[in-house]
Amino acid sequence: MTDLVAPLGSLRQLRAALDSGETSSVELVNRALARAEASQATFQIFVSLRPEAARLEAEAADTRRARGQVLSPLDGIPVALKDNLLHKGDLATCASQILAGFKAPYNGTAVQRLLDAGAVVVGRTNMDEFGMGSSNENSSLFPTRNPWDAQRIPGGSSGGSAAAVSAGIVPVALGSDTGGSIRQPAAFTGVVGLKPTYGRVSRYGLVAFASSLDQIGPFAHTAEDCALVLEIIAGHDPHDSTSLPDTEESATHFSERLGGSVEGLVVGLPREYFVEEGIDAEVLSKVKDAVSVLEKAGALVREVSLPHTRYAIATYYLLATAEASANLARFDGVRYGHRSKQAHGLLEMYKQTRSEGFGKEVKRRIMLGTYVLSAGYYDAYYRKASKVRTLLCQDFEDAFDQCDVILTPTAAEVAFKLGEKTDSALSMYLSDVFTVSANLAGIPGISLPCGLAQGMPVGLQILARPLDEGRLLNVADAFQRLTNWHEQHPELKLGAGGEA
Amino acid sequence: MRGHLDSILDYAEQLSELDTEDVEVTTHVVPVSALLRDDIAQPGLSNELALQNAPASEGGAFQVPKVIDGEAG
Amino acid sequence: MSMKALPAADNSQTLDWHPRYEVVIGLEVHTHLKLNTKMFCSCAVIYGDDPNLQTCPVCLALPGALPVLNRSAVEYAVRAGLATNHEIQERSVFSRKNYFYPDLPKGYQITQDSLPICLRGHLDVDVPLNKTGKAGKKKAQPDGFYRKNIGITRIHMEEDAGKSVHAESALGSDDSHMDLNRAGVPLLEIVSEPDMRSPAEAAAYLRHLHGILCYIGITHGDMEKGQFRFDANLSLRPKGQQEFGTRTELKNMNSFRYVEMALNAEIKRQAKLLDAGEKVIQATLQYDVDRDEINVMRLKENADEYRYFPEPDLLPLIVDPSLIDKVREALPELPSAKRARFEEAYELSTHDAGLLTSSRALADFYEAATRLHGKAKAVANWILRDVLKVLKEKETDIEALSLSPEQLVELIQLVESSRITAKSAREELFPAMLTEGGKPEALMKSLGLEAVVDTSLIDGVIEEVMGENADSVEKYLNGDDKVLNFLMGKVMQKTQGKANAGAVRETLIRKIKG
Repeated sequence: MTDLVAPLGSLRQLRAALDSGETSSVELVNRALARAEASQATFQIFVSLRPEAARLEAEAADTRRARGQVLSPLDGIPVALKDNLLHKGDLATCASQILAGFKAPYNGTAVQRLLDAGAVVVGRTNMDEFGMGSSNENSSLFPTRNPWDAQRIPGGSSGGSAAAVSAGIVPVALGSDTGGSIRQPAAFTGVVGLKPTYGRVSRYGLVAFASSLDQIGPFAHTAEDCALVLEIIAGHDPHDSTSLPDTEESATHFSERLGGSVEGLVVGLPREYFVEEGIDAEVLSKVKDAVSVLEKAGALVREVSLPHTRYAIATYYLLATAEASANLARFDGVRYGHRSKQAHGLLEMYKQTRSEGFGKEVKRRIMLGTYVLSAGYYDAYYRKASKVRTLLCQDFEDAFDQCDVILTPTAAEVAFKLGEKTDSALSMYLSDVFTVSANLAGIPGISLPCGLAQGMPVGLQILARPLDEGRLLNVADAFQRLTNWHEQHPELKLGAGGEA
Repeated sequence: MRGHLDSILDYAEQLSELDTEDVEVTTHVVPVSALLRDDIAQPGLSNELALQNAPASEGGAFQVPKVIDGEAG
Repeated sequence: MSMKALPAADNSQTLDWHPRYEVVIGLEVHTHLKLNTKMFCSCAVIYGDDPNLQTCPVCLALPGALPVLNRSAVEYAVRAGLATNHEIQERSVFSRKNYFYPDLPKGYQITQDSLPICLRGHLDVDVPLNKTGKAGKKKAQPDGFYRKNIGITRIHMEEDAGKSVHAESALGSDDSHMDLNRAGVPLLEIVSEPDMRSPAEAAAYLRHLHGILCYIGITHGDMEKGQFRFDANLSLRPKGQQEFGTRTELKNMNSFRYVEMALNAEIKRQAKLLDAGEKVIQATLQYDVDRDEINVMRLKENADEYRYFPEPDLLPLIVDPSLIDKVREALPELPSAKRARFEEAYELSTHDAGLLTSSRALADFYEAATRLHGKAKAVANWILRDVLKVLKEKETDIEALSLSPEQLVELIQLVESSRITAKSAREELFPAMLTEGGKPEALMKSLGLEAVVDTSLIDGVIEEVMGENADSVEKYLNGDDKVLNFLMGKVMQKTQGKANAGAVRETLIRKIKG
């Protein structure tokens, strides 16, 4: 068994070590790679690593640093990318067989901004195929394991990125969140995961799952680290029509504005989310403890209502699958990706290619999405869901008239065991109940660790008004200054519960 | 698979409880209008890069099987 | 600018096309926009390039790529909408139209569905009364048209698909080859109401629409390059019946002449079915020009299964009213208004005015020359007779011809002042001007085409001709006036056409009678 090098720590810690000359970018990248390789057999976090290129880029970062030309707080820092973010020249497979061997011919905007800031991409992380899943079990390659307990799932769909940070391999990773795909795995692995306001970060170069819901965001150990990353990747992009214009209101100096108190902050607790039924009692009590921490620090807590919450899951799955059914039509074996060798004739080639290339859950969602858009069902499903979406948006507007932020559990339970929910697609879908509403309404949300239950991390979700990431990060940062849950890390047990 | 889909669609039936007669649809949550681009050409991808991932190509074009008789819908 | 009020459309004149059935035709026109870049990406629009040289992540539909709308395409759509009397929608929405075909890289086309940019337009179209619809060919009577109002349901923006290249495969494979240079090229689709009642009306509508779109400068309209192409829906119903019959769709036509032939063939086919008591089956058809027959492409039109839904990657398009005003103010005079003005201001027949306004450049040329010259009729005659003949022979347009209004006017003036005979001007100097260029007067001198006005020289030749044709002289004196032309011809022959015809005629008569 390979010995593990020590976990890397937080971005803030690594920056300090680089600034003091205590370490170098090359050393950090080597440690990240060594830890990634050593843990891979057990935890299967990465789908690919790029050691040679990463080492060269680290050397260049060290050279810049020696010349006093540091590009940004991320310069020379090893980072990981979810396998659905395009990085020119590198593979990008979305953990799908249909994109096996696909090399990105261009950089996505968020990736480009990380590269321009000097970040060093060490590898690409595992995910549920095309982002469709809540456990990482829908990866076509292998399921990633939770660094806290290899018998358990890390959450999904950005489970690999969450696990990479949780396992101390990289201080920062990017993921994407369509219905909770950043926040839920962040909760399950005890790290901070931020889903920005829809339109805050360009989606150009993010392989689309559901275009009106997808948003790229960072994983890190602290709210402060997330703020630094968000500053770099956020901002208007002329390649994305849905990216928000840069205005005073959307200014991104989040990290400079941290450190405020929560004195007088009005915290809303949605009645519909704090129900005994359906939530693990220990999880609920940890979240309530977290509310008390903020209350003691001067926050005002009040109950609010999000009356249409119970319709959110159905709305989400109807809309997300409809969009996905069109988004995934481009994988036809003509221009890139897998092409069936079994087929004769064009139409058979399409059918065979897609049948061989897509996994079970992806096919299920394409079928569902195709169905809800088809003539005769459009009004009852797609159009109906588009209207309920309006009601869900209105719920948040009304709630934010009465409070500054909303606190909820991120998930109703801690990370479950592999195979526990694979029998029923519906029960897997229902586990997204606390996270999907933020995507439907386009508002920002963050999950941060707020305790342990059954030895596994519990996540606290904070939601804010559109473009109010500043406040969101401030509250999360204040909470982390008052607690030390974010400093608790798993001790990786190699060989335990893995493929071995 | 059919069973999964049915259970999901049954679950989605609950939306019919809601009266949405006077509710507008929400397709986008972004409160701005379409982004417009100036009509100025920019270099795209080289032919080589465009075809880099093609399962089959010839003479700068993507190669695909022909539609065979009886296939057309 | 004085504008002649257009006569109101009189739909009652609609031709009775078929003895038993009423023909119902609707048209869908696709026109490429004359823009530098594609609809949703910055790739250049270039025709005839090698395959896949004008592509990018967006038009190749690479994973993660996103569309961004071309600003000028919006302006062009507004221009087209205003020129065809549409209501411009302040808010319009893009949708995805889903279907699989290898020339459609995303697996869906971005188009506008229920909320297009232009709604409820119409055109007043002059339809030739000549049943063959070839009014332009023969000399039509000034009143050889009837005016028909044709409704236009909508205009929407969309992107073109790529195309299969059927190049010989070096490896001898039987595969298709896909070129995506055309994928994403900006298009407008213009959908008419089912208002046309004959192939002639359909062709007249298409010509009129084509003229307008070229006039307002939004398309090159080159039909051979597929820049203006159309589909026709056609159904028959027994006369007097209210509800429409089952319609078929004729796809992908790009010639005004063929569209009439195709529609006639389809009318014949449908009428035969109905006469035999059979049913017309809804189908997508293609017209085979060479065999003059209709082929079935697809039996069922699966329009219901396109699964349209709002394109989440593009936000609703908001057209500012100030843009609409700006475009409206900049709109050029449209062909029908220009033709009416020409008829009145320059005292031209409807037919001649129609020819002179057949393109904006030709109309501008005519007006510039008329301003220089002063006499509208004289300039019109030259253009209608000589310039158009050259354009037709060379299959070109006035812009491509090396002829300026100044040159033409100088040429006309040389004839008028008898410096050159009309015959030499037409047959020798004018062609020389087109190839040599330069000032007509200098060219005339260098080519030795100046008219002979020296009467002593003419006198000698006339006397010679009279001596050689004494019998003809005799006949003329006996009252046969026609002989004069024969004698004149002889004189012109001997002077190689350089003699001034008026002077010859005058002298000849004087000498014979004298």
